[in-house]
Amino acid sequence: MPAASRTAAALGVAAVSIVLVPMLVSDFVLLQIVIKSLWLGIVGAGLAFLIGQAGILSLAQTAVFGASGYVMAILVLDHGWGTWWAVVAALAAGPVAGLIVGVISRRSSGLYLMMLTLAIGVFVFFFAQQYQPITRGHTGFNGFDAPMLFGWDLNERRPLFYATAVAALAVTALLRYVARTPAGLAFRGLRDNRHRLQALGYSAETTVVSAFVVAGAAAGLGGVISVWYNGAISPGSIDLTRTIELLIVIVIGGTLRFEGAFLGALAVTLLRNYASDFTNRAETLVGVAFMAVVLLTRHGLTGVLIGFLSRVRHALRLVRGQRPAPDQEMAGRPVGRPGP
Amino acid sequence: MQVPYGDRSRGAPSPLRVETLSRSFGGHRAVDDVSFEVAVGERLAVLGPNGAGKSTLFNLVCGDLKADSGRVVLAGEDVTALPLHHRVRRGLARTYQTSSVFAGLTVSEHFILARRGTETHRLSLRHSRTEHHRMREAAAQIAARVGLGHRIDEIADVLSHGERRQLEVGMALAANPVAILLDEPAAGLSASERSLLTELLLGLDEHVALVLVEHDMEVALTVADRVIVLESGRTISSGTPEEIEADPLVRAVYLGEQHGAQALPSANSHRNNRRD
Repeated sequence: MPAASRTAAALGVAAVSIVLVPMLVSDFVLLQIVIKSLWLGIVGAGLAFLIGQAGILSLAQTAVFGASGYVMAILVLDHGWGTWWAVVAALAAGPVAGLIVGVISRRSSGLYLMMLTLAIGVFVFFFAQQYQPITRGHTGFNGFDAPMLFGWDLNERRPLFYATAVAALAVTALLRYVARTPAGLAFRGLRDNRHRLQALGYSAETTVVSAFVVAGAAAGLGGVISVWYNGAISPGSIDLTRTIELLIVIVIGGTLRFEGAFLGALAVTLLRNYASDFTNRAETLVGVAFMAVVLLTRHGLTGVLIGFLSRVRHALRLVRGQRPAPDQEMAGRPVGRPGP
Repeated sequence: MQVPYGDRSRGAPSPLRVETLSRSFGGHRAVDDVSFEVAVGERLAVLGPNGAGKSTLFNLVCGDLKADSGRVVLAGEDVTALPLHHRVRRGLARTYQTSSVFAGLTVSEHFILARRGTETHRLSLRHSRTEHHRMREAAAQIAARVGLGHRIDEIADVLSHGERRQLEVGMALAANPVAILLDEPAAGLSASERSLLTELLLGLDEHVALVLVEHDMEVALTVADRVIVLESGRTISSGTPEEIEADPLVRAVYLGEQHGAQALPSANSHRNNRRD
């Protein structure tokens, strides 16, 4: 299928899902599973892009996400800003926070970058917890009212679902677009061979910062929606367990495609909600699922899904009596290499 | 010793001039007071036994290593203080002795990445379809030139050793450089791949200056207009391939020890298929 009709088909499926999902699932599922997975997936997609496309394993993405959520909450609840102006400021705060993290860690890579971004994440957490005049300390901000959009109240489940679904589509479109730009190619060059990229005339440092800005945009949008969703933001929203949760989402989803983050977010959210129905060891179950995915798959659930789809396609060709064509699905992807 | 400068008669500043470059590691002088200059369109080969400092010299010229003293002048501009990527943007391209490629990128993407590296929109966040097609076409031309036309959409991870060498050379060409440094491009190639490479180097754009470190004498002496010979970091001889071949010092230090006198290929026999 040519790329254009593929995009059209994907958009069609997405549109139909957006219409059908609220009709098919209960209000509880819509709120606790679907919307939660979507905004978690938005943040995860940014990190999966950073890891999968640019090879940057950042642990500060939760801090970037928190920066945007805090900016919105502070401006509205403490400074009386109109909600939509605060949303604009919060959406800008994401890339700006990404820029700051990027500038700090632009010279490092691999393990050192992980440690550096971990330090930034922990710093932001303690700042939020202890700098009371600005962040209200460990209680954070409560009672945040989501705004009205075209006469819809985003505090209601369905309007929030529509807005979140459109945001998820927008982030997917944005990241897919960026992947096709010159910067997107440079990101993948950075991932595969930082030094060689410099020997082609690129500044590795500028490339790192750019990737952080792009991922920051996704985290910023996720931060805004999470505050609408929770009606609150506190240091607990950006602590180390959240960082680990985000990493679990990425690993279960797989970084081969950043869209896998949505799959990972759905899996984690489902486990969290339903595992507690039959065991009081829900977190253990999440851990076991994590280990199973790491040990049994190379590219997480995305890898499993892509492998399954290509097998189905192969079988269909055989059934139709066509010569099995080499599968194009994986072309241009580093499938020969183990995942990060 | 007289500094082996190239032809200066054309007036334009030489693409690449290296002045009294030195670099030590601990007490060991890896590169010791080396100077050379290449003219527009000139092909210079740097020969020398293992450990003579050839690769270190390349690393100093392109900026992978900092020189202790000396200057590197690229198209009339002193680039000694500039880092690697700024020298590349000013028209210097190099390849690496052990292939250094992007495992997850296709052949075509390698050439596009290399071409954009010297342009200002290299990190642009705008996708232009016409620009993309232009890049794809340029990449296809490069791929055809280096013999990778049939592999254009393969990722580097699945390429053979020889194909990765071709990919390296292709990246250097794609950047439209004023000077190319090739670090042992024939290393580990089969006989047929070597002759393909020789042909490619002979057919290079006649305006580009080429500096070639090569262990393979056949390739080096066929392609080069001029040769300098390094030993223990110092230039011990320079001249045309014929002069180098006849230099008793070179025979003793390099060719004699390394290959035995009878293994020395005759430069004349390889010059029959030269472009001029």
